[in-house]
Amino acid sequence: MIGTLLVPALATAARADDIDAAGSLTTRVQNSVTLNVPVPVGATPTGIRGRLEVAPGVTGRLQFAVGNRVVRDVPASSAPAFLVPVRAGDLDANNSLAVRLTYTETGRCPDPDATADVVYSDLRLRYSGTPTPPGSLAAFFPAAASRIDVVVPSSASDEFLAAGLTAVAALSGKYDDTTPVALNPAAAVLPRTDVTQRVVRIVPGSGPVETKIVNRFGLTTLILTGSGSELAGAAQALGSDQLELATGGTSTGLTETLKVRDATMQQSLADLGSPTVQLTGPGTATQYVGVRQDAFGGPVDSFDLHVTGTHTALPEGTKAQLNTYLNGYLLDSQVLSGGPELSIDATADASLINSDNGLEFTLTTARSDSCSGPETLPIEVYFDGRSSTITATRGTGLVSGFQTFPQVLGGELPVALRPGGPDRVTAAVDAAFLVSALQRAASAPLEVSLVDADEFLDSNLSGLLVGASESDATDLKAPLRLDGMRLVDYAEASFRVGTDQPYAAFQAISGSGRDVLMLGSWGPTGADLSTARRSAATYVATRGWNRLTDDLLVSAGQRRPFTISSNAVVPQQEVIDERRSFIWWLVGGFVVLALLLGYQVWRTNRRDREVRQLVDAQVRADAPPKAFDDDDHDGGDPDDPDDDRTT
Amino acid sequence: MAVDLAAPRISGSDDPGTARRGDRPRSGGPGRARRAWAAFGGPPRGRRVPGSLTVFLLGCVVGTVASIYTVRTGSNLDYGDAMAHLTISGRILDSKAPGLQQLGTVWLPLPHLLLLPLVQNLFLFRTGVAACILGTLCLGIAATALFRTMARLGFGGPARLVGLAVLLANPSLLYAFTTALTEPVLIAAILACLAGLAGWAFSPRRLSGGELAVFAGIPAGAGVLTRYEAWALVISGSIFVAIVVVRRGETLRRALVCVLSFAAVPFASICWWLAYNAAWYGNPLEFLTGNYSAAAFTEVFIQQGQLTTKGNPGLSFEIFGWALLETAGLVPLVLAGLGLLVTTARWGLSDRALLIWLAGTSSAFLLFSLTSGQHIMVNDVSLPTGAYNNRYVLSAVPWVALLIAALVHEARGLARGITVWPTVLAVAALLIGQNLWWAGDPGERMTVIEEAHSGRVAFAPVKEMATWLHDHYDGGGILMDESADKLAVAPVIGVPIGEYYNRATGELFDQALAEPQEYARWVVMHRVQVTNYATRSALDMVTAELAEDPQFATDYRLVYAISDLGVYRRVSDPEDPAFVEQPGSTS
Repeated sequence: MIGTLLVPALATAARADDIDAAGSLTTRVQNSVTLNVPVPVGATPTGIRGRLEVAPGVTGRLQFAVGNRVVRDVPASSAPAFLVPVRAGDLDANNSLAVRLTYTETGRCPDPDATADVVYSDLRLRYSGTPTPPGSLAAFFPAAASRIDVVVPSSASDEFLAAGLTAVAALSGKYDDTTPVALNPAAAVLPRTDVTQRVVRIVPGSGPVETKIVNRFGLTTLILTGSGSELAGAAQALGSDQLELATGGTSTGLTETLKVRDATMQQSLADLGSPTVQLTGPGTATQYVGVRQDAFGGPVDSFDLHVTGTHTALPEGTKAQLNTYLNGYLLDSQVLSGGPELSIDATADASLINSDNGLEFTLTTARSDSCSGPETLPIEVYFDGRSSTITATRGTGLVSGFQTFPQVLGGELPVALRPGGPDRVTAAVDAAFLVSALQRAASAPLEVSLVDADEFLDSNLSGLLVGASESDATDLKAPLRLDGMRLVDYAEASFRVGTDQPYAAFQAISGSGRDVLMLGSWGPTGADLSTARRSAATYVATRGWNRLTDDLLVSAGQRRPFTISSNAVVPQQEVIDERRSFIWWLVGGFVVLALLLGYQVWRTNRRDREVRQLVDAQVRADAPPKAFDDDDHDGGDPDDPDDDRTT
Repeated sequence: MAVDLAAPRISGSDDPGTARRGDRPRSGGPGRARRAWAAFGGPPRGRRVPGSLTVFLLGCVVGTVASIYTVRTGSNLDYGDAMAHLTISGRILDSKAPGLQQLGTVWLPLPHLLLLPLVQNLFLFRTGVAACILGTLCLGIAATALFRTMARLGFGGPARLVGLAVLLANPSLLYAFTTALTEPVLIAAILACLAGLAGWAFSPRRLSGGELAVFAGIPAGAGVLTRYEAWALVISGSIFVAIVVVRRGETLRRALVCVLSFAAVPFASICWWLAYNAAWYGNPLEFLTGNYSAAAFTEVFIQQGQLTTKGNPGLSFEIFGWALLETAGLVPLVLAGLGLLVTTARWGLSDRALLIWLAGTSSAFLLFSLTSGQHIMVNDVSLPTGAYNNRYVLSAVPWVALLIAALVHEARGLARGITVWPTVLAVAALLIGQNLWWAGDPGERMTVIEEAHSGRVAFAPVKEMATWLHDHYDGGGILMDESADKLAVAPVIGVPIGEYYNRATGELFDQALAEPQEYARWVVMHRVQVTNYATRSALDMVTAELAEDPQFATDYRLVYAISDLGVYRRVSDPEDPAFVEQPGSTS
């Protein structure tokens, strides 16, 4: 059987659909990128097919190798369907194909400043044979999966919902965002993709959690049977690397407890996923290191970058420049010279820091004198990923809205579901989409827990509230109350949410020392609100957390959900009325002044009385023995500037 | 017998009056400095307050330095309103339809009239230096008036020094005084009025009503023709005058005479304004109810649900307080609050206390305006948030300055051991700290500067277009709706305003719109109609008339485009000089 399989995922950071980023060539001299393509067990690979895009003006050759075997060597030119032939013998020990793409400049005098983008993307693995169903827990989750569904009973209690959400988080962390991970009630009809699709079914049972792999309705399914909080522990273990140790077809007592996060403020490049950074010239070579605030256990205000490494000796007449960027902003630039040692020390303040940051090292090499042929010596730069560090300073930073998550969670994600009854499972399904998106934006597994909605509101926990009511929004002082609303009526705002049109709103709420994500909806009585909520949740999951902007996502009607600043919503009367109480500060101020005024009057009167008594006593003492009447001459001096006559 | 503990007094060792007679310092060196200091802190002598000229010059120097900075950076033209004020001043004489009607009714006329002689010079008009000159003089007047008020209140040299520092070291206020905004004239008028009232109230001799009218009434009249806050000051000032007279034990008739003396000039100013409105617009209340009135302006915000302060005194106070916090600064506000408490506890409602309360009139008026929906102010705590109109609280800075000066003046009386100079140094250190904090991020920490930054960003493409037009304009007239969104950039274009056909030219504008090729070689307009407008008057009438007109497309050619703006030049008139197209336009 000849089949075509989407190549969606790789065990490492390199992925088929990531080739556009990881596999771009930016030099006209030799450079290569490698892609690991996992192959399902039992399938015999026959080829990898994809779209080859070569930038105009690029005139070198492309060499494709699988392992150490060169399989194609062609002139660089675009091809909508380009096949790289492979065979079973190319598989490595991990049952993957290591496909290497090398671009070689053939011109005699390459322009080192010119870019030469070659992209090999939309890859699909062609194979023969029938993939073997996994026989063990270790093999259950393939290196690349097209889809994973977590199924809970249709009337699941909170322990199953908690386990389901935990499983979604764990598996979302295991796969990247090309693998949808969703929570489903048992009654739902699951979508079908291909042989790499997996289903995790959580069912009630007594005793320790047991696992069993079955083929159910044609879907490879892992059944978790158990009860209580142990289910969540088992669900957490699904994302663990230790799962490879479970080589049996069934297991009992599967569990994992998340370790307390290492929230150290210093992370090495190796900790951040780049144990080695290598840049090769001549030309321009770039290496990217992702730096998430979440990796530091919370929001940060600044980064101090310290990088150490070495570089090869520069041939005479060759100039090489090493630039360091954070999110496109130049942090450091140095011309390489002298000995092999190099170091970079730079600081990025809050204004440069996003939730998810891109640290880029770019090596640009150029010969200063005339071109002397293609035999240019390579320039290489190596960074020590373990001794190169980023030290963060804890702070609130300048990011706001959705982008404050997940770092403000500190690795813990309490989830509260407001609805009861059947709607509770529906709310959990919505929550799972959001949990999945959040997990994928996090640098380490989130500890997901299900908490009571009222207790959550009363606490100071940061977390997620799904299915929020109007009163929940009021209690949390959400920028958008779940009531009728409309957008600021500027002409360029082509979309308006009417005051009577149902909508769902997903908001990032910050205040009172906590950060809360709230998904809720509003509509006239009888309106169907679940569709809008689901639309908002799936939008977040499919778009990805990092692309969420502002602090409010609105879903209404048939339109695609959109993000907007809550500031663009016409202030709701409820919100306006809440601010009335501020007048008491003014009233209080006047009361204080009135009290002081009373004190001043009392004190002045007392002094007047004392002075009067003193004067009277003096008068009596000075008076002749015979008393006589005298006019009161206390008329004041009209020319006396000091006489205000206020008392 | 009664002793008024709140009466003005000169305090202790800083009192130059306590210097022994005959103890004349030697000329030069420390002696001269001591004499200068003695003069600075000395008591008023009749109408003379020693040190006034020095303070005026100091204010002018500070204003000049600030002006040099803002003109060099171009930030003095960041506010759209600043450019509009310059334009209005210019078109009174230099226009295709010159005359007083060019004053319009949007704003009160005095600032434009004061700018009038200065903007006749095209350089002063184009660079905004005209406004800097006026603002610098206003700053000198404001500082002098504040100084004289403090002297009349009996404050010693240290207190006066601190009061002046609060005024002259406020970056937001200094910035405003380098622009053509109305705050410089308003604040100078308010402070001059206060100084006049203080001089009248605390004069050792009984001053006539005429003197009251001259020294307090005329500044009040100037304020009345500058901003509506001053109208409230006339009312509160009149009450103050009446109270002072009654407290002196004089007759009610005398009180009435004094009040009328004070209010005569402002009242005449108001009558003139009403008459002007009636004469040009047929409605004496056109400024209140017309298409360009504040009410019409706020009506748009009401319709959009954004005038959230209306009927909400709590929110109004919060927004006002935040604007004041970011404009006056936390440290000065705290000190002013302490000053208010101390003066209330020690002075009660004495004439001195009432005079300081008078300085708060504009703040009370602003709070009232916000609550009644006559005014809109937007900042970090408003609903919705933003940065708009916060500069109105600048008129509260003199009040803050007076309260802090009063605190310093009274500091020694609060407790044993408190001496004046350490207090002054402590206050100075706090003020320096405040300014250093502001300097850390002025665009975020000072809402007046933040709005200027926003204006700079918003006007960037328009100014680029205006600069291009300045460089390429070769006469022939410009058809442009300067009232449309962000097109009030006549100063940057920098050609005589008489070259324009705009709304202010009345029928000529209509005729030019109907047949542009007969009137204007140049047309400046939005290439597509404005959609992001605050009021309907921001719609571009030229765009509305010509954007879709095929005849216009035949007669004119787009020669410069940036953002949504276009500069068109006539191609249908063979008598027009050849236009050498140069690269640089951006679309």
